[in-house]
Amino acid sequence: MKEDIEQLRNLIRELDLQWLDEELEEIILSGKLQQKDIFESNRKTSKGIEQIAYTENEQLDIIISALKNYFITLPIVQSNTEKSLKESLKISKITFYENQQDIFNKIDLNTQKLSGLLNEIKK
Amino acid sequence: MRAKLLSDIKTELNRLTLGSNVYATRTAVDKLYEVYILSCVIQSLNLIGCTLEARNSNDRATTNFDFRLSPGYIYSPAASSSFIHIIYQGKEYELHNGVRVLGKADVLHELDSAIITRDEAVRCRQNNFQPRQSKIKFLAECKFYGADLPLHLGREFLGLCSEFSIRVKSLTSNVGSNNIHKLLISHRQTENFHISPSNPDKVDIFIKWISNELRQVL
Repeated sequence: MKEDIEQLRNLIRELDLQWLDEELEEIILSGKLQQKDIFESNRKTSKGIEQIAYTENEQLDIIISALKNYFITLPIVQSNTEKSLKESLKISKITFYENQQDIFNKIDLNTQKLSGLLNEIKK
Repeated sequence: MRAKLLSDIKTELNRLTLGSNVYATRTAVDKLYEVYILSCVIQSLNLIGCTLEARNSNDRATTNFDFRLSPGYIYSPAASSSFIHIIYQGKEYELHNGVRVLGKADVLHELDSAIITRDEAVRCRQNNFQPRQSKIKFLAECKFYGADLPLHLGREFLGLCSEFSIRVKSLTSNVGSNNIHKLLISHRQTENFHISPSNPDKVDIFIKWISNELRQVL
């Protein structure tokens, strides 16, 4: 499990997706909050919240979820948005500008193979 | 077997990232999601019978819709995006993406999605002013993330809300966070989480929620 996590993180870095690696680092390091019983003189007195680390299994889930969101859901977001804007506003062209240049080209919607491969990791 | 699986994943990710420059920066991903949410707001406006028209940053009808990656001033045609002119029950508004507006403290805030009264927007374009918070009717902050939203985004949204004394404000994301949900409801603010094509039912509820809210404030 630990090896899978490291290899997937390395793969993300090799693809120059620094922003995604930083996002995963932030989420994994921040851990999760969990309710905890507080005992005084062997008697439960109240409930508190403690911060605990994600298990390796949860870390792997986070990485797989991120890859699915960015590489399977995002292409559909792009495609649906373009279709919806063109239909509802009767526009023929949508451009995303940065320094006078159109910086967005279409993401490939053919992500079925990747989806299957990511599902394989947890088997 | 394991090595082959990871190698195949790498090949697929390589194909997708090389094929599109959207993945080059976080900013491009964020912009794409902002525009997706803008398209949901447009569907909400259609639901309540608004008349909509795409306008370029010079306030002329257009069939070419331009989005700018960085937030811009409403009065600067070179830096601002196209917008949507709205007519609802005889009153006029504008729907903008990535626009800078003045909050209560007279400091600038960048709104991912905002509906501004038409009079205010025209006045600002003509006089090089920033729209005032009292003339904003709706705002949405949009966050596309891989897994749970980090808590600081909830805190930042609360800070933004304190600058806008309007009813319809939403933190919107493709993912969620129990902690941010708890934080926002305890301060009477609104989140709309899990809004993406993966959850069509949630998107439908989101669109209907916006249209119901807008019927009360437009």
